[in-house]
Amino acid sequence: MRSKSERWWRDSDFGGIYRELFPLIFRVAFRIAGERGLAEDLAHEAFLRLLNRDAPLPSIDETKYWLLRVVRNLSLNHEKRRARERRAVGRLEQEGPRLAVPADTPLMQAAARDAVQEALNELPHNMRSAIVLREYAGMNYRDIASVLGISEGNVKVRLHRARRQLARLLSDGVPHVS
Amino acid sequence: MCPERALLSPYVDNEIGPAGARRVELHVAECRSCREQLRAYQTVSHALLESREPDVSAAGDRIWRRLDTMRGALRGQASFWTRGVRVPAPVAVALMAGVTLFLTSVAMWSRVNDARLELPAFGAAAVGAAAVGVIAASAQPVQWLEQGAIVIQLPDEPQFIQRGMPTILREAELTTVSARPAALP
Ligand SMILES: [Zn+2]
Repeated sequence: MRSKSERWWRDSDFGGIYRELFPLIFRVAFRIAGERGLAEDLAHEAFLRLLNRDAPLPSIDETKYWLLRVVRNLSLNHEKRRARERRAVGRLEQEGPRLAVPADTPLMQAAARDAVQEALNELPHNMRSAIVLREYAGMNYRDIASVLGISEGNVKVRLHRARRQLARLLSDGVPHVS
Repeated sequence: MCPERALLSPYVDNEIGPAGARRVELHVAECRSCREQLRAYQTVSHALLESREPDVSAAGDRIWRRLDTMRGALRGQASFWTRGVRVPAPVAVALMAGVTLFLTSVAMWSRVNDARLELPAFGAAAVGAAAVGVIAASAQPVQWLEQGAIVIQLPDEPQFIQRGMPTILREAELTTVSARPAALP
């Protein structure tokens, strides 16, 4: 007997799903992650997990929401881990001699990014993912709520705060790199 | 602060009914502060959409090739014996530990026998040959992994991220993609 995932990709058209959903998934990944390399890793991982699923999702919309949820969760985990590592490096810097920053750190890549993405990166993850789903995926409050697993009221509050903060950051000129 | 302030963002998103929209429009016509806030929100939306983004189709090609190398295991008809198997990561680790333990114990056992029981030379040679055979066989799983016949199944929870995986895949891409470029569907 062949494995389930082997069968379902034979029956359905993975290439078609990829072609239809990749641009959206990648844009959202890029805007949430803030850098291209990480966005590609997130999008790759999300489609890989789709490929490894035992059963297909019932519709293209549900496939889209599933992929968006995976991208959002992966990026949140990545950010938490990076914050932990940064705290650890901070402790080391206080204790011992200053560590040299390698050339390819997110900090260096940040210099090449534009002010809008910089401002987005300054938002807390929960506000950022809400505004990105709204502005780059064109989703309504109900769908954003379903992807983020929160209430519609909560979506409204996060979007309001995200906009207020973005308006402030962008009117201050180029935001500082934290 | 005006109570209408909280309606500005949903208004931008078209998420309040016609009555709500009318209320916002009447209010911003009167209130300068809310009018400016609304304009700021609209400017933010515009700036987000105008902001530069990386080449999406180039990224799409790159990731498609990465996925394609991973899909090797799912391709082609296979008999019962040559069909790919999925091994959960903990089981894979346990198996590797088991093989290592087995090899160590075989080596120890043969040494013990050599020293104390004065096994005939022929017997010692046989044990030695068996150990060499096991060591040679232990290279086989690596080959299976490379061929995609064995896929180590990592946890499927969305909270799990495969650390270091992308780097490994980029390496794989360098070696396989240059030889066999995959076309987008
Ligand atoms: Zn007002």
